[in-house]
Amino acid sequence: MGCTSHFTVVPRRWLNDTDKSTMTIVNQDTSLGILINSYSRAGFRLSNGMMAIGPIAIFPKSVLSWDVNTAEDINEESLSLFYTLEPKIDILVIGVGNPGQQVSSKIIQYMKEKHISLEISPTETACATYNFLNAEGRCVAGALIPPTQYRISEDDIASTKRRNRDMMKVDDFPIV
Amino acid sequence: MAASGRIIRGISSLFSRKGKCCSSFLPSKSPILSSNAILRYNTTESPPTIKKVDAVATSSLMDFGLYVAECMPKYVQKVQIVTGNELEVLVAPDGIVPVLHFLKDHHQCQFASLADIGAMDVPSRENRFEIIYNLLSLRFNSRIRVKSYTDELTPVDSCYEVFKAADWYEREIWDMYGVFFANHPDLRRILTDYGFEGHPFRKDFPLTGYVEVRYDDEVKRVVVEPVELAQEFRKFDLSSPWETFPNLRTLPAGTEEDLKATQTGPAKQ
Repeated sequence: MGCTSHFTVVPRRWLNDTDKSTMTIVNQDTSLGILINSYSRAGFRLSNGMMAIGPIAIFPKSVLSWDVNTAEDINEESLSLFYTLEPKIDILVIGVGNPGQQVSSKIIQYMKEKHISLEISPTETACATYNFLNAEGRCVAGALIPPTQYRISEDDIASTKRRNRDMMKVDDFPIV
Repeated sequence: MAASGRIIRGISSLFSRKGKCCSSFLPSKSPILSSNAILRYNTTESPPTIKKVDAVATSSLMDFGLYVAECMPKYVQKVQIVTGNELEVLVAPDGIVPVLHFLKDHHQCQFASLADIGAMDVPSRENRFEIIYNLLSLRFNSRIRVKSYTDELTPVDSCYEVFKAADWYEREIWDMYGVFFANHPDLRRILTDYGFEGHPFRKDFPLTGYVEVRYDDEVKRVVVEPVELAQEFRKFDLSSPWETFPNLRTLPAGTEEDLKATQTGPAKQ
């Protein structure tokens, strides 16, 4: 009857908000808890800006230093913190440092009796596992030993230089 | 010669229509072939559901298998042809990487594509797991299967250095069967959940599993509990589907050739 219809031209890709592709970087989301940004021979850099040196025990809301030398030295006492916590954690992600390090099978058995699932892997992959298990919202804790051998990419060298503010220096032996 | 060319093209179009006579496509200059002859040719074929056994191809495949056995005598234990046209080479576990390297790089083989790695669990055997590598040669358009064996505790050498594709396949076999691959760059679970214990594809792992997950409203998260079936587990003992084809009941699984046997060709199926 006297109504006009308005047509707006919307690009076909963006009819709804749900049609757009979005990308979120999990480590930048502070509501998920403390996540691990990077690792090195010395320790770990966390998503809240802190750097932790040496082996760490990491939880969604806190991080502690862990008193353990190598993966073989893990004993009941070093894991005692994880099974005495309330609420009980579902999964304990253990980063053994370099690939090939073993955790004693008695410990694995012991933790099975305490009903805590273990996820034992080299630290490189254990950091990522801890990150996305946390992002999913599962009750997970991490026990990580810094690795001594790991793969370095050009990107790692560049981001270290950027952090140390010497992008323009040419380094013969880059320290990552 | 142009006329004969047109005749050949006309005939091939008739064949592609499966013998139906389309006289409109016959060039007017060719009264030679009658449509009846063409129909008769097409209807003498055997029914399409029976796989034709090509004796020539099978025997040349067997020749190639014996050639591989001669080139790698230390590791190859048996060569066989299964289901008419599939070549299998059975090797000792120490020889997996050398044989795969040979099959990939040798000029007469060139099996450059790793199609799949699978495993099979036969608990009654001492070496209960069979590791199966399926290779494809694009150059020669043929496939070959390399089979080896291991038990629960013995590690197998990873063929990652030969085929990069083996990475995830070996992770899957580690996850599902528990076969450890030495020198694998990153051997960890790939399909099962993070805290999962057990190797699901083993025959002694039950169909329902050991644990089940559910959302618990009290603790407001997903909890893992031992499995509780609401209904008793029903096992249906179905007979094999091939029972209804009596002609195929006694087909042998594979045709085996002794490496030292004289060449008589594969047994007829």
